[in-house]
Amino acid sequence: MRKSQWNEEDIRLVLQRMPMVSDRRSKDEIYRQVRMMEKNKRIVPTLVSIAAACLFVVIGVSFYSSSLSTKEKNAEQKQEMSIAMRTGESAKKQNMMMQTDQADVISSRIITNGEAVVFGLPDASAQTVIPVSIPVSNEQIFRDKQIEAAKAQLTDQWGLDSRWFEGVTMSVSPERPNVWIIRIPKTHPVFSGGSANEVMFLSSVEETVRWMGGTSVQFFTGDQKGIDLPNTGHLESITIPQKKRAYYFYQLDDSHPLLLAPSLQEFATIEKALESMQNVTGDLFRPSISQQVHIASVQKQNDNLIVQFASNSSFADPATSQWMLEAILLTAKEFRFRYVTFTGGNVDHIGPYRFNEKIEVPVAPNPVPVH
Amino acid sequence: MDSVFDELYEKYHQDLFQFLFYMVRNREQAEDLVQEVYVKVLRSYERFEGRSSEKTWLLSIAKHVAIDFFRKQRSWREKMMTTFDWMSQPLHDPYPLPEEIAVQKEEIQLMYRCLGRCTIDQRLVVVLRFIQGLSVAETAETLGWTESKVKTTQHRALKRLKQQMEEEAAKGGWHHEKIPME
Repeated sequence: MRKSQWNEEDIRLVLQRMPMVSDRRSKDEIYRQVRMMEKNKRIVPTLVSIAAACLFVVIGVSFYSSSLSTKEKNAEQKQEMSIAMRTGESAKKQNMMMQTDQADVISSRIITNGEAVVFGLPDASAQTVIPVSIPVSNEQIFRDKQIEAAKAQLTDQWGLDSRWFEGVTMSVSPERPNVWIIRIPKTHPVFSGGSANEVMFLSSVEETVRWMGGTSVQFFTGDQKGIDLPNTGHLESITIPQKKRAYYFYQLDDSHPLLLAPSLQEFATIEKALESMQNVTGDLFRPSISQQVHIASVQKQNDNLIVQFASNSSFADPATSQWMLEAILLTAKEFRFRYVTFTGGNVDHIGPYRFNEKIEVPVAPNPVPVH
Repeated sequence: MDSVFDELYEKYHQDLFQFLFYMVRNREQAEDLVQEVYVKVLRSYERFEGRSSEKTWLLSIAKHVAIDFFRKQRSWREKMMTTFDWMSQPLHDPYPLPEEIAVQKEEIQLMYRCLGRCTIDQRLVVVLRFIQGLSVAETAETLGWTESKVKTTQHRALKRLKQQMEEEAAKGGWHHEKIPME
């Protein structure tokens, strides 16, 4: 082979012919990502952490083997209540509390009692994290099957990105029940996924741990303390801030189910949160309170929130009306209310929710149906 | 949508993305970093005093973001693989060639890979001068260097690229032969 010869001018000419490479994302998409990063920039410094990854079985096992004791009392209390309230149903059904996919019943977007594992998962476009819950039974052998069955649905049918939980294990610190220990394998994709993916991963960890009642997280890479994320830097622990958010409608497209998603921003008052649920704009979320619905007043009586609808409100669509109430219940939970009472609106119930009666706030959002 | 973002995107997004792409040589990373640039720009836009052109100001922020990225990456690599000698490894990219590069002539593909063997300073100058088409003065303004430093770095960069191109061709890993003019 003849030896190639180059001079500086040749090099310049090749450089000048290097092709144009364009960003394949739309302007709107980039703007959304920028806004998301702006928000998360405020979170990361205070230490965010979420761990998780697709290892639902491992996560589930870890969670249940080590943390159930911390949650068991609440779960048992709620379960007992549910059994007392639903005398006509089998105990097993009450325990599962799967209202989804029942004939002639609109699939609920909340779990109102029983036990569940909750995961915060990025949506398919990696713009927000949505908590989903898997109702599980008391018995370990059934839990594993239930979690495995739910896992299979998350990506294909729900359009959520569960790969960041691959290989991650989560467990509660033996000494401090509010501290979660998250172990990530050295080969985990978060170490090479870019800054946006790091943010999504950490946001997922944060959402997951928050729902599980944790207040801080300690990271391990293999047996070493801490994780070294190329963009975020070294993280050993993070605290999980409590948040007061609103719940909106989120739907990837018509072929995916509508989910209830927490707002990216927080609100100072429940009134502001409810207002945003009717007025949220943008491509990511849809209002969860229709423009045809008018909230006449919001009153607080200790731990009970009373939401009165105006008489000229319209609840024409049974599904979105039910999910609206469920979004309000989840929002009330964010603001530490234990009950919500719906009144007015010239109706006595919407779906399973009776007006003028105290309704307990949900255990968890977005149950994954387990068949 | 923020009107500042809207305007900057329309005027400069391609330049910013192109700059970051050839600096980090990875599309996904460039996408992440260009967002980072916007976050910083939107925070500091009110402080832009117009002493430099808007474009060189944006590119200078992109430069900081890129350098920050390399610094974190190096720090991480040092921690994780302290004994690994990166520079002695064969010319190898951990990522497949981007489609826009893969469809080009072999000399373009090789140049793309050789860019990864320049120092970060050299790559900054080469990308700004020859791929972005900035003048020496504009490059100096973007990088906060003297024009003299730009020229010196440019000279070393071209020399290194020439050396790399010839070495790779000599190894036979590249089949293009540049036949000298008679």
